[in-house]
Amino acid sequence: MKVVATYSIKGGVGKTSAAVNLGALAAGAGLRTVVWDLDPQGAATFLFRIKPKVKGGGRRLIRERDPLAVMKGTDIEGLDLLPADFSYRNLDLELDRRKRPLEGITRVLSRLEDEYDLAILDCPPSISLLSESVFTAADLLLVPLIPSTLSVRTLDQLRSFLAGADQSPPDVLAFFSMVDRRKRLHRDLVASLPTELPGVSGVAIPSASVVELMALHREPVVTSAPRHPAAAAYRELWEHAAEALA
Amino acid sequence: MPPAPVDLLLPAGLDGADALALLESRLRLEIGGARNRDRVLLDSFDGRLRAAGLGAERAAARRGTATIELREAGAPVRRAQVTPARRHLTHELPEGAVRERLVPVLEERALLPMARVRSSVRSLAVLNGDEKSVVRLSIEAPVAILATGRVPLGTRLSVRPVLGYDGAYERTLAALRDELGLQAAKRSLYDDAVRAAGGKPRGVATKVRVPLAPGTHTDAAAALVLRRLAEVAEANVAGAVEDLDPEFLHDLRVSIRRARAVLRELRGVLEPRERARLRDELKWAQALTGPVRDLDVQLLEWPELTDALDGARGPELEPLRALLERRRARERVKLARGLRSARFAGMLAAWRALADGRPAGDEKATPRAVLPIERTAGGRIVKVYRRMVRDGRAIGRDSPPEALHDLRKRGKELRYLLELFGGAFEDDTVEETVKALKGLQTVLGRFQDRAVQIESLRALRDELAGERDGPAALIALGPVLDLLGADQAAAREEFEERFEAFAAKPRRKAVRAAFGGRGR
Repeated sequence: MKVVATYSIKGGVGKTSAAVNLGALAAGAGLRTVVWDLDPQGAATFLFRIKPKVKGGGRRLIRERDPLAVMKGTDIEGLDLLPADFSYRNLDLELDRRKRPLEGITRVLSRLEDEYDLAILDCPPSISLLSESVFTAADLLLVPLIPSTLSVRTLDQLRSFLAGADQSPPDVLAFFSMVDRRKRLHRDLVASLPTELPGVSGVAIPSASVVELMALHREPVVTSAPRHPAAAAYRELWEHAAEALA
Repeated sequence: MPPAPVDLLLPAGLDGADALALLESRLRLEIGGARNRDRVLLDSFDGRLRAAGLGAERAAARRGTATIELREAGAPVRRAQVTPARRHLTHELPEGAVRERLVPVLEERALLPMARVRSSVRSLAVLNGDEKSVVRLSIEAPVAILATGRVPLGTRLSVRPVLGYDGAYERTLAALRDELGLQAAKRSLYDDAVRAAGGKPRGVATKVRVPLAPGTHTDAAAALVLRRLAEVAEANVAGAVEDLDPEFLHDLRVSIRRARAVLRELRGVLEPRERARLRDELKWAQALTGPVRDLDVQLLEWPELTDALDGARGPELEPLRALLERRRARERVKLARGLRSARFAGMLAAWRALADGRPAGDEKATPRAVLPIERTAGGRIVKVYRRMVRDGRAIGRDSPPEALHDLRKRGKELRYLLELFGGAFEDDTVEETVKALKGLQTVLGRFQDRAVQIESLRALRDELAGERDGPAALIALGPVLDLLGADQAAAREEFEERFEAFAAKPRRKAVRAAFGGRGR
């Protein structure tokens, strides 16, 4: 099973949108896919119309629970969800109590190894013990970048952090998110960064009402509006991710 | 474990719209659009997909491209774009989820069209209070399309669970069964369609398991086994002629070889002239089918062989692979001609006649015909086993390769006796003896196969030298021969250990106790 995490230190940059749309695309490509909504806010869980509740909470899940017993099928065939739970806000503490805290996420995922081809982790915005455990488990980090100078700095910080880690770091694939083509800075950065920085793809998810309306329709763009440019951009992102995982 | 999906049959005379109205009266539904589908259902000749819980289909159109859809409970539909063909071998499929899932299931077998079905399908979902799908449904009104006409297969309602909503699934099923009175379909749509087309949903078995009651006369037992072998041979001829996949030829050859073993082992049982004539014809058929099979083995092992080489060497060997392919194409023409010939048909008829014929009734010519099978076969099993033990013990480090080759031939003889007439003995002992024998035969087979491969590749050297890029291929052939030689030597090293397991005292005692007899 391959593991992808949508990750950013910043919040509200398009991690969840990427996770649910890539999940739908991966299932559409025939991969048995699970999205794990690690964010206690439960946005991905909400988008799939599933209750953000895990019996026994994050603590039991990390300790011994079979994740399959609490998972839910989404409206998309082949795409299942390990839902969010408000107790996930304490996952850092729970991991810290374990012998090898960085392997906590890997341990949970290992129980799904035979059932799924791909796990997509939708991470909360932070850099914490949970993030480090995600970095240990992931083969690929997908990092959304709103085109701005500060975002580039945040990406640099992440790279430095991964480079300093003890374990071998996951690959990083950054992509542009919430791109407003009317803004010159956005256009310039989308054109220049992929050639200037390694691991930055030219994929640009547009800032579009159809993406914002996902929360209202509670359905990924790639299934609700498959012809929209945003859906095309997610498909392009999936192609890049699949290539990086191959 | 999620609950299993269920197919329910809608009452006859109920069309799709009626069915929908009926469901809407009881369930909160999301209703998808209806689509017409015309598709062929696929499986291997021996039903491997069905046995593995898989279902494959593609659009019936013969031009352009089509999508193979592969379905499996608990997994998303896997898809692969293909050019419609009379068969799809896994290595011909594009890389992706379908190929990856099918390779370990099909191995060398091809996906073949088993039935054609035209239908109107409508997808539905049962929703909960959050408008979330908690049960998946589909209504389908299928018709099997046959050369002779159309057969309606009954309107079906498929009910599939969604992970984590078992309660909703049970409630939906209860409503459909108890309130609407729907009955579970006895067979899957695949099974119904294949039966309507005159096929066997489980596929055509090539195993020869003939139940033999103790006391069965040897001539009757031989007839039963020969009849089953003839069935297997006949079932595989068309696929071998059409070259659908290499297993057709392989299974045809195995049944011929087994029939030869029956005739060889059971002397004094069948009418001597007919037996002698059929033995000659089977020998001819074995020789007819040999060259293509040998080349199949070379080509099937090609990826493994080139993968073991230094990366740069593989492409250099391409002229050799092309040469093998061309040679196979030539040999295949001869094979197809032979399999379609009157002589081959006559051989099959003689085979059938000997299996179906009346007992010879001439006690002088067939003195062993009325002996119980456990005595004749048991005696042969013990005798061949003892001889193998004796010959195997005589093999030392300096023994020539022929000694191992001869031992392998005896092993085959023993294996056929055990497999073909094992039905007359205790299952456990037969299985254990076959298992010990298989371990030995694997090593002996590897030793012999490598010797044959080395010899046949060496024989191609002159022809290869004349090919374009032939000299480079000749140089690359050196390491291939080295690899094969090393594997042959490794097999030789393993021989002693495997032989000891086969010839150990407890095994000898078990064989004597189970199969008894003093042999003939």
